[in-house]
Amino acid sequence: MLLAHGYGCDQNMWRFVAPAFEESHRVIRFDHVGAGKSDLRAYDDERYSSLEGYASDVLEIIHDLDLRDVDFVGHSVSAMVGVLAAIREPDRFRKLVLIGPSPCYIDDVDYVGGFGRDDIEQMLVSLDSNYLGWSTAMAPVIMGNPERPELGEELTNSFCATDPVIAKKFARVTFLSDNRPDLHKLRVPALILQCADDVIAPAVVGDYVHDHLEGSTLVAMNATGHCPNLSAPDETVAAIKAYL
Amino acid sequence: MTEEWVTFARLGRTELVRLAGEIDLANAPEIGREIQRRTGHSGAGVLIDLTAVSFLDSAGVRLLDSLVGDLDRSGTPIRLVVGETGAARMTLQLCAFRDDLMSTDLDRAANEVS
Amino acid sequence: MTESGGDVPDVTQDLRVPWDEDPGDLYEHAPCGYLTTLPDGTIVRVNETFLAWTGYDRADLVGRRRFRDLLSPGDKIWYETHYAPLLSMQGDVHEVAFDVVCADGRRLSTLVNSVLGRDPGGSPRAVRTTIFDATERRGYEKELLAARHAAESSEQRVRALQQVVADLAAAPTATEVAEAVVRAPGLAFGAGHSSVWLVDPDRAQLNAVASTDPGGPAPDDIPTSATRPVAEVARRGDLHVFATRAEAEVEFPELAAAMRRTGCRTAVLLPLTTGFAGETIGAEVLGVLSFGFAEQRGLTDSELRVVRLLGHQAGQALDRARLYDDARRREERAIFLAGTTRALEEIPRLMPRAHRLVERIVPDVAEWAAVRLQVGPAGLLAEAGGPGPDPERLAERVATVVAGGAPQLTDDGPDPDCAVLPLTAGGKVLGTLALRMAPGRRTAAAEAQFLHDLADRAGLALENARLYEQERAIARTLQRSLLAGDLPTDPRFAVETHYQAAAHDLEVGGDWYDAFLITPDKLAVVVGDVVGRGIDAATTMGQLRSAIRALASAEAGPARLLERLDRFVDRVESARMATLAYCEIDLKSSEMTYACAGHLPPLLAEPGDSPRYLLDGRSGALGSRAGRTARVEHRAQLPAGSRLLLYTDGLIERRNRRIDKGFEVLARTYAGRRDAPLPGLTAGLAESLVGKEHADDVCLLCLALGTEERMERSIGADPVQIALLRKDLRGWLTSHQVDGESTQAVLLACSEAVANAIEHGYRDDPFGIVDVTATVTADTVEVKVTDRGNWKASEQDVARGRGLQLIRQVMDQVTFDRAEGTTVTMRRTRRRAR
Repeated sequence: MLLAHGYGCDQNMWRFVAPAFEESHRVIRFDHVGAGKSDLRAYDDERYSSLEGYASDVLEIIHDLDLRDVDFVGHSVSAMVGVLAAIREPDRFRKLVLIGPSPCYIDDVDYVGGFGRDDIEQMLVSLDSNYLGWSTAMAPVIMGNPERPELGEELTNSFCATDPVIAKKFARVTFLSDNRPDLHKLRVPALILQCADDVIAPAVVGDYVHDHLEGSTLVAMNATGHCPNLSAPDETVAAIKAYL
Repeated sequence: MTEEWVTFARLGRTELVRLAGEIDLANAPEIGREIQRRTGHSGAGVLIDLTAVSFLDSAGVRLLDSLVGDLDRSGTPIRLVVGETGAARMTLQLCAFRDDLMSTDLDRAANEVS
Repeated sequence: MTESGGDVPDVTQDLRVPWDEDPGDLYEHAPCGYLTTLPDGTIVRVNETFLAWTGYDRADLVGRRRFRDLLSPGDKIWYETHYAPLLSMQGDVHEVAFDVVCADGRRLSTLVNSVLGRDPGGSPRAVRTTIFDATERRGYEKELLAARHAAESSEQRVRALQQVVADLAAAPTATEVAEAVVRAPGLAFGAGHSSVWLVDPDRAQLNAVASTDPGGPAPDDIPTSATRPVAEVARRGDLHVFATRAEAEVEFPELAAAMRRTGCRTAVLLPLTTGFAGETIGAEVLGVLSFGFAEQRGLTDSELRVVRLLGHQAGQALDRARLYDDARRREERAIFLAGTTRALEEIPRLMPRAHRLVERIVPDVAEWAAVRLQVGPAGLLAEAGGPGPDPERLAERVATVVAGGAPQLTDDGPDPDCAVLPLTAGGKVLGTLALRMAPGRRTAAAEAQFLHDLADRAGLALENARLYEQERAIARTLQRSLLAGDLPTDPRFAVETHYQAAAHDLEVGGDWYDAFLITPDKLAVVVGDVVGRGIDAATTMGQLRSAIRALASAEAGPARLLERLDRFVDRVESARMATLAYCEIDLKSSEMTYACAGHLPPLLAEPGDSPRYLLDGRSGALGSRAGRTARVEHRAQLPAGSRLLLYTDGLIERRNRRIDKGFEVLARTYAGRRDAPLPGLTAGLAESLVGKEHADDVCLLCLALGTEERMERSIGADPVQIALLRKDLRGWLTSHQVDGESTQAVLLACSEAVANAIEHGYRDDPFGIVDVTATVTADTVEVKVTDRGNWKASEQDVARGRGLQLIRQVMDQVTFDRAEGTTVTMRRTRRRAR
């Protein structure tokens, strides 16, 4: 089982879910380039200018570890990354579990993605404000403890650490991508976990994905928000187990 | 230039062209142009006298052929006067020139075309 | 504290506020907002401070809204992707910047700290959140951020520009400059789509040469006079920035359409100019860079400065590349010209030289090339490549150039790239060189200087070849006329000769043979070799040949003749060191007297005996100062049926064979052909001893006591010569008592065959040679007409068809042999009866 974290966090987000599968699966978690403890030098503007680059990474992991019959669990943007990877090499995958997937976050004619383009632009601006808080250089300033930089260190090294520059680019790729045309190409069975009241991937988007992924299963969860793996790990684990 | 091989005269109203010597690729085109320039404009008949021709090749035949064609088209009577033997007779016969075109006697031919 | 012995009084009592702090009041009116929410964010408690800041009623919020709902849309994402996960995992979150949307839509900048409270079982129970008004702090942060942005983007621009400038400096060609420039807007400003057009002054257009599109630039050539934005900006030479599509729409609707198509909201068109930054007068526009941004944005003054700087840097790099291109092209052209001159010099003959010229030009210089030479009645044509231009227009231009002597390089007509240049030598127009340049390459007008040089050199080379041909033709005619002169015919003997010029026939040699009757009963045969080649050698050979005829006498004999020739050589210096073998044969007594002046020994084959070399009667070359000058002669008896062979050194000398070996081979070959018919014997010997690839002229004469005879003539490809040939042939036929009808027939057939050779075989070669050989036996007359021209089967026109028909009618047997040229062999049975 390959667990792929979404935008904004790192593999820590699977901490409540992963143990439940360690009996039945070989569980592999990883950090996308730019997140967690990944090697930041591996980031390449060109490669990661579309989700295909991230999909290539997933396939490289599968090749390097020679994984077969992979159950891929992707959260948020990684759900789409998993879809793209499975389109390219369907033989490697057994099933996909897509948590809060969205092929396109921006509204379009006859499509509700949940956001206007301006919302995304504003979000990108606000990233600056918050990454100010997380960046190594600025953390002590904001903390008001310039004489204790280790506080900043601690903060940035804690959960969901992300390189701010890469995170901003990742955000751009995540929220500006439109992978709707790719959905119909998927041949691997997929489970869609749709939370209640998820502003990032609303129910209509879940329905859209369900309609366009042939042979997919949609489970509406009681959990609210965008991260059921954190807010409702038990329900999430149960839904995945039921499907697999 | 061409007087060595061709001279022009009149026999009554009839135009008389006398050819002499060897007519071949080297001189036939020029002789042809000279004959065309000088004859067939009066409407009277034309006699081509080949009795003094000592050699005639296919270029000479070409010249006579086109001359006859032109005069025939304009309705001008023409006769070729050719010796009973000799180079010109041989070549023209080989090329199957019409018998009615050829005559061996100048005076009889002159009568025919006048 | 009390351990210190009570010296220090406990002051905490004193500092206690004088009234009881009401915890409820503290909660409601604390200097920060308080929110208590369920784990899913539903607000369960909120303090007055927060309500006062945001303008909400408590009833609007409690139990009805979640905290997330109060955030701006962008912050909702942040909440879901960062805040909520962190809170779940860490149990608390600090110093998150959120904009809270107030009741009246106003946005309040806040900093938020949250703590997740858990029940005794560890399950999340409630979230306590404090909210600080961070308006001022966020203002300060924003300034800080803006400053950082400015610094970062400025640094990025500087780095990008440095990289681009380094790339430009390393780019040797205009195309590589364009490829470096096209990357610059992306690197320096994060621009999206970017393209470069370069001005092609020759074609007065702008060519799309580079693009950031993965597929490279779409082929898009814009005339410089066009109304399209790129052309317009190139003409104006100013930077154009269109911050919005609407702005572009006003001036260039086409650009606005392109922006919509490529999803670009702001577009920049930058001319790439020579000269220094800030200079516009006299600066030349060498290209245009266009780039666009997906988002709508203006450019700051400092960005504009950078953009302009980029335009100048690129312009200077283009200028340098252009000079470099020029220099390289000049060098290539110079090498090409020198190479062409050398290549042409390797081939002395005219048509091959003309062909080599056009073959060098295509495809290196042009797609199609043709050389027309005003040589011969029809002119000559060598052509390569294709397709050629419209023939009518070409003919017009050629005529103009021939008449005016001035090149025609450009044309607005249908074939703008068809250039015609005069080929001149000594101020005379020898012909024309016509070219069609390949589309997309430099035009003929742009290459004018080079093409002039090329035409000048070609003109000179072709004129030299023409002179060479002329001299060669004269020398060859002279040589042939001397060689093929009136060899005596006599029933008592027969002479067979063969002359063949060197294979790579540079110039005619000075080899000759002769046979003549000194008295009715005394025959002289001679083979000799004059030093040198070319027209001088041919002339000297003629003089020497005439001198021998004049000086030979019945009384003198060979030795005395040689002495007289030694004196002759004193006056005709060019004949000095000539060698010759000279034999006099008394036809009554069959006694031969011979002498060799520095020449190879005659080879005598007597009936029933092996051939032997006649090694007596030897002395030095004519006029020799080192050789023996005492002239000696020797006598030998020639029994009936003897064959005497005289030859020149070309027959036996071969680079890879020793001369004694050559003598041996000749004697053996000669012996092997003892019973071969005389006609063809000498040609056969030459063929088997030296073959076709012989480096030297070969001259042979074989004297036989017999009755076979043969006539050989070689005439130039000129109709006038046919009459002369006929005269010789008529005499030769008559002397053999060939009947009159056969004579007429053979004359006609031979004339037609020669005319064919001239009109077809040599239609492109007025210097061609037609060889005619006639042989007669008791029963038949045979005539062979050989040319080395280039026949085309399709060219059998009607008129010439009549010639062939005549030949077939008058001859009994006609065969055609087409190998390297054509040999017509015609045979007719003699009619003795008549």
